[in-house]
Amino acid sequence: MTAEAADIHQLVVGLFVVIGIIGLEVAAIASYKIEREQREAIEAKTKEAIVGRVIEALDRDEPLIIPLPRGLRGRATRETLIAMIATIRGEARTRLVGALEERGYVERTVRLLRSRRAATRARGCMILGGMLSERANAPLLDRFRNDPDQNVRLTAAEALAEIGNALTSADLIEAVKHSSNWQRLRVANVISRMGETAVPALLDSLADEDEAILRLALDILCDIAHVPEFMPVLRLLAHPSVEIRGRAVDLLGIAGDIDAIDQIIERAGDAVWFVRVRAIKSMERLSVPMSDEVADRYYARLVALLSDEKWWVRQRAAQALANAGSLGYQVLQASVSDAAVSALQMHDIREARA
Amino acid sequence: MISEAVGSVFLWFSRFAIVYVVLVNFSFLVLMLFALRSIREFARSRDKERLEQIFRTRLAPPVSILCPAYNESVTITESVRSLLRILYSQHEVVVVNDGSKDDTLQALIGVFHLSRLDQYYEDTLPTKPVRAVYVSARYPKLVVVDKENGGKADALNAGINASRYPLVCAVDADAVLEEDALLHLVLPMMDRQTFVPVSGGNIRAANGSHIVRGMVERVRLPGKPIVMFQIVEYLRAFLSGRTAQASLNIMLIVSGAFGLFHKATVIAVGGYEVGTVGEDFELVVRISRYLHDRKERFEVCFIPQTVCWTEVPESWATLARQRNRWHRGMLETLVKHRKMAFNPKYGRTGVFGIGYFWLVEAFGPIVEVFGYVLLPVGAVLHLLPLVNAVLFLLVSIGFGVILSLGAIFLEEMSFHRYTRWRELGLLMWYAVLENFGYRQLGLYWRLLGTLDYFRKKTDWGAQQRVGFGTPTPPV
Amino acid sequence: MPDNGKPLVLVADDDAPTRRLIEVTIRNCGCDVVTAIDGEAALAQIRSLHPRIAILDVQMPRLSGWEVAKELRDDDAAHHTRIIFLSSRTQEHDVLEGFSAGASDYLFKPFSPRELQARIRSMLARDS
Repeated sequence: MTAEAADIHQLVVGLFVVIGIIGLEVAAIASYKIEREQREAIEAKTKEAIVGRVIEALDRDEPLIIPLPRGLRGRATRETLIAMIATIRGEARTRLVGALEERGYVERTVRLLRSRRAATRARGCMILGGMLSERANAPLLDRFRNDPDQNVRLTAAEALAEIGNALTSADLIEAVKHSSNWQRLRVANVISRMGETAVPALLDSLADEDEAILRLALDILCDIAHVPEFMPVLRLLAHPSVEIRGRAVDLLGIAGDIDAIDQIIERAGDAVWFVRVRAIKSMERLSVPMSDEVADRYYARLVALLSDEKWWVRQRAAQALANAGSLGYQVLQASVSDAAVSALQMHDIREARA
Repeated sequence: MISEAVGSVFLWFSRFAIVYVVLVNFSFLVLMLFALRSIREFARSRDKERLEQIFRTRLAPPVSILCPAYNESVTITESVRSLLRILYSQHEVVVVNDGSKDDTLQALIGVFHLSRLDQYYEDTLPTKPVRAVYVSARYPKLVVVDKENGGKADALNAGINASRYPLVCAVDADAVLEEDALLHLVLPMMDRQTFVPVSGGNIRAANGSHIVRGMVERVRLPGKPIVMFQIVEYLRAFLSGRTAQASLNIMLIVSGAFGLFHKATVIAVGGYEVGTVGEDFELVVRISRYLHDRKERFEVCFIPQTVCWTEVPESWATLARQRNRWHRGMLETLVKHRKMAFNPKYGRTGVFGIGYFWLVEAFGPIVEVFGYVLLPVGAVLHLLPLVNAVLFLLVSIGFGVILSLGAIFLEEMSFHRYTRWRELGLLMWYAVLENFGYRQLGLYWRLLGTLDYFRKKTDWGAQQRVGFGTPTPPV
Repeated sequence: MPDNGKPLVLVADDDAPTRRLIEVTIRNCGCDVVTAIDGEAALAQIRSLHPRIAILDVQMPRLSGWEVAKELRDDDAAHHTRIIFLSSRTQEHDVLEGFSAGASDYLFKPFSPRELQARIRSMLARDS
């Protein structure tokens, strides 16, 4: 065989290899789709059947019989029931949860918490949270305290909150050390939902040295919007970190009372511009009712800020004046500040709508 | 003698071309395997309602959506409406009317009951003069900036000036975002341990799909081959290419049609560069360079499940102009930041990111077009063995088909937005077909773009607007 | 109004199990029920059938519950239909927005079927 013939031979082999790979790819794509369609068909059929059966049983007060937690049917059943549990409260919900417990769904999901893969453990926690069964409390608590993976710990905490087994907010705050912003947001969401019961622990944590904890606690308190004792917050107005000062001043505006206004007016002279903006916002929130003395200081500060070096501060001050009734309006009209014009116009536009 | 010299030039070029396409395609294959690995986790999409519930709180970072518009009167009100409806706790929509000659501004004023303000903000970044700013009492989230024409980069800078929030999301005026797109896009900025200055979303061709009131109702494939080719191409570029690049942290392009930026960083590097045609690419490269220079760790993210639907060109002339423009923009940016190329000081971005662009995107069209033309010619004229020419074609086209089908597999495995069998068949067919002419055409356009670059063309060309919700007949 | 004298109630929700749950719940307190799977269908049915009460999910495809309510506000013929919003959102401003859009009542998911029945009964009693 000549060299050229050998080359051609190799080319032909190459061509067949390429065609072969292409064939494999097409087969893989097709078989993937077939498998998925079959799976989806079974799931849809199961869900339809379950929904009908469950609603009938609930309606007629008959016992609920659902498939065992095995395979595709089990998974579809579980998902359907979790979706229904999320929609209704009361006796109907209790029956659905009971059905899941009786048939072994809860147990089976608890087994997922022992998996070696963190993602699986987290998924198990999430599912248990959806099933709302108190039998999951102990294993979830165990995961929250002992799991090496932070995401699993947080998911367990979220699940416990769903079920209604409140972890203390102190526990949770401890759990968010070294977390990402997203994870802190999730914890904040959980603690927020606890409402006012979480406030004492949050106020305690305002003495923490970790800035991330302070930020978290302040954010949640802003969300809950209830602070019975705001001395600890006042102290934070002088914190070296900008983020903390800003949030502290926000919180006073949302949850404080008129007694705090002097400190806030002072904060409106902060070195950093967006703390000044937030201070103005808080001033506005607390501004009614005001004694004459306080009003003097209030207006004086706002007028001073009309000549601030930063545009957004000037604009916010002008806005606050525009919203402060006829006196503030007149002050603005007399002002030469560039922010006054647009603030007056914006105020007029909003008033025209009302 | 001469013919021998020419013959050996052809021979060596053919060997070089073959080695080049083998290496390039092999690296694409490796990238695709990386994409395969990361796309499965994205496909397990997070529960939308739970995400939304969490983002409902004031703790989520607020976002300013920037929407530059030039002569978009046909589609602008629908686009703005859909942006206002987006699922997010706190956002504003800043539309920048870049001196449109049609009645874009009038349409907005009428539909959204806008009132004029004489001054609204300060110029942090320099832009062409702003004529007025419009706000609406009924739609407090909307701000419209009317300015003199200055190009898309200039309009975006004006939008940045007018924006209130610390994150800005640049969206094309004719793009339609899915309602949870922003939720997904913001998440990595909050979830990574490193700083994420830029986050990009997936772009899909809307042609042929049914879009009602700014929401995609039915995803369908159009009948037109030109659009089908682009759809397959986008799947290859986005699902396969960008997912992989992001997972390796060498991603550099965040499409201008849809990207989320950390505003302070953008302002720190000076905003978008006016006068360049590839301002989206240029900005991301500049941000990378800036952060590398300051030795700050960062990550550019790509989120494949956030989708932005946009209309792709339906005429060959418009498509050719678009690709020409993209290529020129890319070359401008590469040349401007040539210091980064293969420079270890710029980490993976410099060596693999920029390096890839030089070797493959810039150099590729030249090598491959010459390969497609010269090798067969050379073989016919017996200047080089036929085998070489055939081998080149086999590797280019064959490997190309494998990669294109691979992208279809990725799509099927992850999001499977095209659900009917007929559509899947069509996608696979076009995945094969695109390598027998369309890709080569694209390379040719890019080669022209290279020539035009050296001739210093800087215009944008006009793209004829077809309008949304008027699909070409679906399959 | 259907001939048998039973009050008509419309239930609109894109989620099938929720829709059927509400449907059964309301049938059990002696009403006739029609259903819709999206906002546009809901609007069409309200305009043609004039149900006494319309229970609308806030988030639906095509037209949201809020948009349906706003459309009906300008529609004289559909004046008598009372609107109850069903939603999983619980922020105060969402509730206020719902009322300003024309809702008569607001119900949060997860809801108690008994509570829903009580509200329906009291609403029907108020109007007759």
